[in-house]
Amino acid sequence: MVFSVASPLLDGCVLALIDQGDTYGYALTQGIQQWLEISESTLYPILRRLQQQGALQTYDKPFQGRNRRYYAITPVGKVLLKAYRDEWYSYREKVEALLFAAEGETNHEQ
Amino acid sequence: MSNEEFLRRLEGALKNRVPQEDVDDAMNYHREYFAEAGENAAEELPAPEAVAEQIIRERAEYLRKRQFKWARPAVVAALCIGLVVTVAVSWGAKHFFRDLWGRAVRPDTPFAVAEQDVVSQVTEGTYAGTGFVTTETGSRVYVSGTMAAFESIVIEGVSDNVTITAAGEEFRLDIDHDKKENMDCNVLDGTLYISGDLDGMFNMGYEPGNITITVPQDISWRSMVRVDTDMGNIYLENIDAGEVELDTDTGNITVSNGHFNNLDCDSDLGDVTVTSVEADSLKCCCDCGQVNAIEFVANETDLESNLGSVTAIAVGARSDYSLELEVDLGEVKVDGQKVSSPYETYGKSYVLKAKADVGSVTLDFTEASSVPSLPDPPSLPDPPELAEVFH
Repeated sequence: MVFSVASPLLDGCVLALIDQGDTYGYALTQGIQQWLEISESTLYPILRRLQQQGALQTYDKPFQGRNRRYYAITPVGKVLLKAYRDEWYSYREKVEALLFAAEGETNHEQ
Repeated sequence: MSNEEFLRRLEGALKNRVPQEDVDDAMNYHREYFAEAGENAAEELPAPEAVAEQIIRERAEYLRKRQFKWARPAVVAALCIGLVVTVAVSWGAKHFFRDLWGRAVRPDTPFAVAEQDVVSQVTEGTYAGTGFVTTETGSRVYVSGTMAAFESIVIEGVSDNVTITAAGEEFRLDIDHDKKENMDCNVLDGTLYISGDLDGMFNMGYEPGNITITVPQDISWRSMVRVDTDMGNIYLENIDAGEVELDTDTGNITVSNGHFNNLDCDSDLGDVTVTSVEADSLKCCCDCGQVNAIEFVANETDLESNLGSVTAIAVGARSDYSLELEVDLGEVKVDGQKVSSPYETYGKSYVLKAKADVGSVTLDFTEASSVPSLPDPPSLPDPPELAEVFH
């Protein structure tokens, strides 16, 4: 994924991963890269934006003589994550209705 | 590049563009990232300058959103005050300058002086100010409101459609605009300035917005209108003005019902259409499009199209006009008659020049002596029943 204006999709995925457990920048990037091609991103702008929105909070934990900044989801972040998930379901439904219309399949609905 | 070089360039690109606190935060994040990722992790990343640009952009977005939120009660208060001020000023001006209202708005009349309070400042996609209503939907911003009086308009560096009409009793501005484009909007010394930061290159990716300016109906202007838009169409209706220059690269220009000292229309790829216009001098120029001048009268007229055709209907009789008509590849027709090119005649009052390189020049006069009427077109057969076509 190109280093551009972050898509809401990526914001949602980042929130979802952090929701599963507090994590730090590099580990988060690795985690996302297991699934999505974002080899050209450090996720910094996304994390910064989510933090400014109040969806994430940070704390530092020393590790092997240096500092690690951990990101944790906030109650606001959980609400935002739910909104992203709902939005995704709605979007997916519409896309699949079109994409699979010819086949008349309905078992792709969530 | 090495991690160190990345960090160095990132800091250089951010410094003085965002607060030091943000610079430090970004540097800490990336230093930490490299500490985890190992040597030469910077090779996998985009250029530090690109990273910096995004950080700067996001901060501007964030500030804009935040500012708008807390400014809301202040904006509402300001809107009310602005509305009251506008109404009071218009009412006062109208009654006090009753005579002048119907005539030219001269530079020394008080209400033509810049009223910076009732002005819209439109910068970096941010719209704020008194007397204006702003809404946002997706990537579009909509601005609408009344303005202080102005007698000149200068619009440049934009790619939007521009419409200027005279109707009603107010000076109004309506903008529908892509948030990503910067635009500045200001009334200064009796001139409305709208300027974007396009440098004349085609603006890909944004849909051209719409700038609509409405001026009071009975005002007779003696000043200047200058519009320079990239992709947009320009549309003028019921406008009386002195010097008018309209320039668009790919859009069409349409001017109808107007009275001008000098009207100069230039479109590179679009058409220029001028209808019911009276001017001292009229000039229409197109590279690729058609020039249509319908029922115009001017002391001097110059119509030119390089690849398209010129069609003109001039008010008056042929004998009123000195003509200079020229084509390279097309033909010249006057009052339905084909004539040779170049075609030059001398007439009583007006000068009309028309030139088309590839296309034709077709000229008719409203007081035409004899125009052969065209035969009725043959009646078309009824379209086949759809059932017959799709069995």
